[in-house]
Amino acid sequence: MPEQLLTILKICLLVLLYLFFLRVIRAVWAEVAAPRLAPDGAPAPVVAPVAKGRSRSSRSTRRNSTPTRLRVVEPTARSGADYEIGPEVTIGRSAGCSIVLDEQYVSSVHTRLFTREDQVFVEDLGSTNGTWINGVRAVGQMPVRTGDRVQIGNVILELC
Amino acid sequence: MTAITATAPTDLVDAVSKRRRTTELGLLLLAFIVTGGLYALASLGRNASLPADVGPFLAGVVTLVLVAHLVVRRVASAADGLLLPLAALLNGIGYVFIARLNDDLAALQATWTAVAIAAFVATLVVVRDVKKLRSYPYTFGLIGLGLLLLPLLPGIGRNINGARIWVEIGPVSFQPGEFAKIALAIFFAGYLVENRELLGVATFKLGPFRIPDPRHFVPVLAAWGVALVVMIFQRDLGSALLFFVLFVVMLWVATGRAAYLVAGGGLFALGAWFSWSQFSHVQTRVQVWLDPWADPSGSGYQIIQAAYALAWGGTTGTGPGLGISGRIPFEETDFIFAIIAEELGLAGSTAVLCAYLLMAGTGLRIAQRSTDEFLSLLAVGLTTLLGVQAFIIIAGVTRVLPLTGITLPFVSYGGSSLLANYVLLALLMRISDRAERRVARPAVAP
Repeated sequence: MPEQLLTILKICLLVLLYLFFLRVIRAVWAEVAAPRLAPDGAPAPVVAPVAKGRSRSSRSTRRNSTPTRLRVVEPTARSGADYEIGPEVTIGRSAGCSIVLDEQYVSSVHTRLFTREDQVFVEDLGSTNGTWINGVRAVGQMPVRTGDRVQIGNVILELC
Repeated sequence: MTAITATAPTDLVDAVSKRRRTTELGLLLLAFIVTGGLYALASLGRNASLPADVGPFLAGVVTLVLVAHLVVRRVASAADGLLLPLAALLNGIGYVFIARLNDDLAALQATWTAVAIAAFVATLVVVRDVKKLRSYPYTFGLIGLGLLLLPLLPGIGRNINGARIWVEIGPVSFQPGEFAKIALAIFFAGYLVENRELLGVATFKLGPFRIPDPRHFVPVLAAWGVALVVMIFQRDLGSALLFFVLFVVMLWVATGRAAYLVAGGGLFALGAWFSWSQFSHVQTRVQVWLDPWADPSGSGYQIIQAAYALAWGGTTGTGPGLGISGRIPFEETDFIFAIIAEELGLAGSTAVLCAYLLMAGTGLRIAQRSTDEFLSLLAVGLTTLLGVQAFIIIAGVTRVLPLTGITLPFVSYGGSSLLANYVLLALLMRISDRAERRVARPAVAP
C-alpha cells in the first residue's frame, strides 16, 4: 500500500471526524438558539391552560402577551397598588428589595421575578413560607403569564 | 407538594423527540462510518491489508449502536440526542486503538462494550424516574462507601499494579470504585438538595469568620473523608482527586457560594501537602512530573515515551497503525491518549478533547434545563465525573498534572470503567428526557 494513499485516507478520515463535530455543533446551535419555538414558528405554549376558575373574559384576548406589571389583590389595604416588573424585581420585607412588602409571612428577600426572552419567570429565593403560583408552590424558576396570581406570605399579586 | 410540574403539551414533546432522535441517528451513522474507516485504516497501516474480521466488526458495531438507539427511541424519546453519538464515537475510536495494540484485550473490550450497552439499556428501562433516587441518599452513600471498601476485603480484593482497587469473584475481576463514584454523586445530590439552605447561610462564628453550622457538614464530610482515606491507602490518587473535585463542585453548585471553592482549594492544598510528605509513591509521582529526565529509563520512562509519541504525531499523525506501539507501559489504558495523539496527531487528539468538551457542555445544559433541583444537581455531578476524569488523565499523559492512573472514559481498555460510564450516560439521558417532558409552570389551581 503506497504511503501517499494511506496519508490521503488518513486526511479523509480526519475530515470526516470534524464533519461529525460540525454536525454536533449545528445540533447544539439548533437547541440553544431557538429552544422554545413550536414547529409553526410561534412561541410554544410553555404555560398550562388557564385555571378554569378564572372568569374575566377580557383576559383571554391578551393571554399571550407578556405581563409587565404586578397589581396587589390582597390584602385589601394595599389593593390597587401596582409595580413595574422590568428586567428583574426582587420582592421581600428587606429595604434592599425592589418591591418592599412589610407584611406577615413575607421573608426578607422572598421572591424574584425576571423577564427572559419575553417570558416572565418567578423564582422563590428560599423563603420560609414559599411562593405560590395559582395556589401551587413554586420550585425553581417558573414561567408565568398575564392573569396568574402569585402569593407571597399573605400578599397576593396579579400579573397584568 | 412536589406536583408543581405538569406534563408538557404532547405535540411539543413529540416535535422535540423527533428532532432529537433524527439528529441522534444521523450522528450515530457518522460515528459508525468514522469507526469503520479507522478500523480498516489501522489494519491497512499495520498489515497492509484489510482486517479479516471487518464484516463481523461492522455488524457488531451496527447492532450495538442500533439497539441503544432504538431503546432510547422507545423509553426516553425526548432525551438529548448528542450524548449517545459522542460516547459511541469515543468508544469506537478507543476500541480501534486497543485492537491495533493488543488483539486479546480487543476481544475482551468487545465483550465489555456489549455488556456496557446492555447496562445502558437496562438503566434506561429500570430507572424510569431518577427523582426516586432522591429518597434514599444515605443508602446510596453507604453503597458507595461499601463499594470503595470492597477491594480491601481479604479473599476477594486484589492488588494489581500497586493499586488495591480490584475485586475478583470467580473469573471476573472489576473495579468497584467506578460504580462507587455514581452512588456517591447520588448521595451528595440528595443530601445537598435537602440541606442547601442550611449550608448556604453563615450562622456559626469561627474566630473572625462566620461559617455555616458545622453540624450540617458532618454526613458529607464523613463520606468524603472516609472515601478519600480509602483511596489514598489503595493508592488510587486519580480517583481521590476526581472525588474531591466532585465534592467541591457539588457543594458550590448547591449553595451558590464561591467560598466553598476557595475552602476546597485550601483543603486540597493541605491534603496534597500531607500525602506528599507521608507517602513515597506520591513523592515519586511529583518528581517524575517535575523532571522525568532524572530517571529516563526507570520511573520517568513512561512519561518520556508519551512525550515522544505526542511529538512524533505532529499535526495529523503518523497514520492509524503506523505509530511505534508497544513501548509505553499501560498504553491500552492510562496512556491510550498518547497513542491516539501519535497516530492521528494534533488534529485527532483535539477531536477527542472536543468530544469530552461537547459531552460536558451537553451535561450542563441538561442540568440547566432540568426544573427539579435534585436532578439538576445530579446532572452537574455526573457531568463533573465524566469531564474531570477525562481532564485528569489527559493532563497526566501530557504532563500538565502529575500522572495519576485512571481510565479515559469510553476510550481506555477496561470493563468496569466502560460499564460505569454507560450507566452514567443513561442516567443523564433519563434526566434530560424528564426535563423536556416536564416543563415547569404553574399548574392548574384546585
